[in-house]
Amino acid sequence: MKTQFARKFAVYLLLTIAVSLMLVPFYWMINTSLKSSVELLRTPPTMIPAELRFQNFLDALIKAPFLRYLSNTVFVAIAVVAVSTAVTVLAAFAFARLRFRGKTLLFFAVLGTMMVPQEMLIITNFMTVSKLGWMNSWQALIVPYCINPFNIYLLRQTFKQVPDELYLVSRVDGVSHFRYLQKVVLPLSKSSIVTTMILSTIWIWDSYAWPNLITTDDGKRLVSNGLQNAFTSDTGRIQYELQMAAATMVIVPLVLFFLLLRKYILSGMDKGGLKG
Amino acid sequence: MQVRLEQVTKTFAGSKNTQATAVKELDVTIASGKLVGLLGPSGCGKSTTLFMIAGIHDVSEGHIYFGDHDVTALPSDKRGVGIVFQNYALYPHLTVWDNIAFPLLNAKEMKKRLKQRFAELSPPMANFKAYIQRLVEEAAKLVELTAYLDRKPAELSGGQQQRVAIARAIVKNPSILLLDEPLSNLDARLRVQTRDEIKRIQKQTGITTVFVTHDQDEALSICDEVIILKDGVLQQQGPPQEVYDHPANQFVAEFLGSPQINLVGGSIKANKLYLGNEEWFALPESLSDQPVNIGVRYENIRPDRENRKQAFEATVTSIARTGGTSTVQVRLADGQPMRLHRDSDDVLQEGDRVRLYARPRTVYIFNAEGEKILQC
Repeated sequence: MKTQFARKFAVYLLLTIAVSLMLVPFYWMINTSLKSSVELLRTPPTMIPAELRFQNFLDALIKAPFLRYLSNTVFVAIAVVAVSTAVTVLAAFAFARLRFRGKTLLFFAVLGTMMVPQEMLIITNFMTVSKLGWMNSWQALIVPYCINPFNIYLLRQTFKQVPDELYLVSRVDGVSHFRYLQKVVLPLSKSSIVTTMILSTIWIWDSYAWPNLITTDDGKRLVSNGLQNAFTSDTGRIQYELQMAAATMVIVPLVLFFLLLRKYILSGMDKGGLKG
Repeated sequence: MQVRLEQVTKTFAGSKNTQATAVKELDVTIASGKLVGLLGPSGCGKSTTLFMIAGIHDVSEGHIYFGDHDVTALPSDKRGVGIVFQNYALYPHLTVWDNIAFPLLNAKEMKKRLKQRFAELSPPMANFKAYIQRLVEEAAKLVELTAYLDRKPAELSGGQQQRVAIARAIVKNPSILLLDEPLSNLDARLRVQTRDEIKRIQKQTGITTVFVTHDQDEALSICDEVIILKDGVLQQQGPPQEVYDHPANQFVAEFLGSPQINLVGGSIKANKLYLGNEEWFALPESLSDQPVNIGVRYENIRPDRENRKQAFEATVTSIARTGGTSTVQVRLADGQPMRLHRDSDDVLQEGDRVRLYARPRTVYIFNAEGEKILQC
């Protein structure tokens, strides 16, 4: 009894420390976002702002084309999720179900691209995009994110879990591959598909290096890059309180998105009614 | 519709260029409107045969005919067969109604044909949807699931789920119904119930039905005919009782019947059959001297009360009473065991010496290769 309590206590202590460490940056971001520019520079830094300046959030919105950046990111995210989900679902179905020559080799090639760090591809992608004349274009922001090997892998595994017999029955009944995918596989794999959509959204939301590299035009900048550049005062000082207020506003939708769809992420496969 | 397999062989490519033959030069004809059981131990090629009829597996060699029509190269969706799997293969996210209607609404060819049939209906119906509704309800009624059309598969018992699968297979009015071990996932009580249901549905619709099973009880009780396979090779085909009473070889004799047939070593010497070392009876045909296996079913061994010449002596070693009948184990003179059924009120005791006999026409004599050489 005692040892069990001690063990539980140790586990909770460890988890509490881990959670605290995770939350420190968030706390610091919100803390900073509510300080005045004077209080910000005080040493030692104050742990709780003396006066909560919500004005910072308004200032951040007005200052610079922050809203513009945000809407750019939302637009790109929607486009990427739409196109990449379509590509992912079709590719995953082909890898999971169809029989064609070179399938295994092709699948390993797709998996292979997962092993290459994105940073290594930046230069070659940059060359490609600039040769295509796509600098400062929506395509350059969207197309490179449309193929996501991890998502293809994830969905293929999910699709493979749909029992063979369902496929065979629908084949014998004369149901086309596309119909089968649409009417059987997709509804059964809903939660995994939502998961891939969330992953795609987070990916584009967080991406920094690539959009920064190919956009110089303020009208096409994404919020991640905007945060870096927009909050520098005329005197060259970075206005951290505004930057952090903006960062908070960028993160909040993503956190909400995640919380709302948590059910899907955690629920896994929903496949009742099958025995055998 | 009649199904005919002509010299059908199926080989699967194994690893490192090896080939496994699942079905070998199979020649069978399945008569139109019959319920036929494909029977054999696991790995005998019965499911492979079913899948070749369905068009799920290609045929390596040989031909399959539906009626006069060679369907060997026809893709499965063009064959007009309905299939039911062991694990029901229902669409778990759809209701019973949607499951049954699925092949009607989601297959292009089927829908086209239905539209045509709908147009030619007399008396005509108001709309196509109502026609689909009627077909689904007819199928549901046939399997007695009308009350469950709104349920999801997970809310049904195993037997009900299997009936949904059957309804989905017959709603398209298939020329052939294929059932792959449809009862194996059910518990014992439901299995008996569902197999009688299958028999009733088959008789009611008259659809030629092929039923794969490894359970000889199932096959014997509901099939019009059984086809027994072993290692992909046809062993015997015929009406169940016929096959049971006249097994073509030792494998069939052993495979059919529960409890399993008694097999006792013996020999033929000078045209006399020896049970162990003891002379049993003279053979009506002349056969060469050889060691043999003698098969006699439990129910065909009886105590001899009339001092027949063809009786043999044995000692009772144990009696297991199970309700109305008991299984008596005896030991022959040379020590070989044999079992028989007796009524439980029989007065036999362990250690008793008994004289037993079996009518010669219930005695099967197999040679060393397992071929039946004589049944008087």
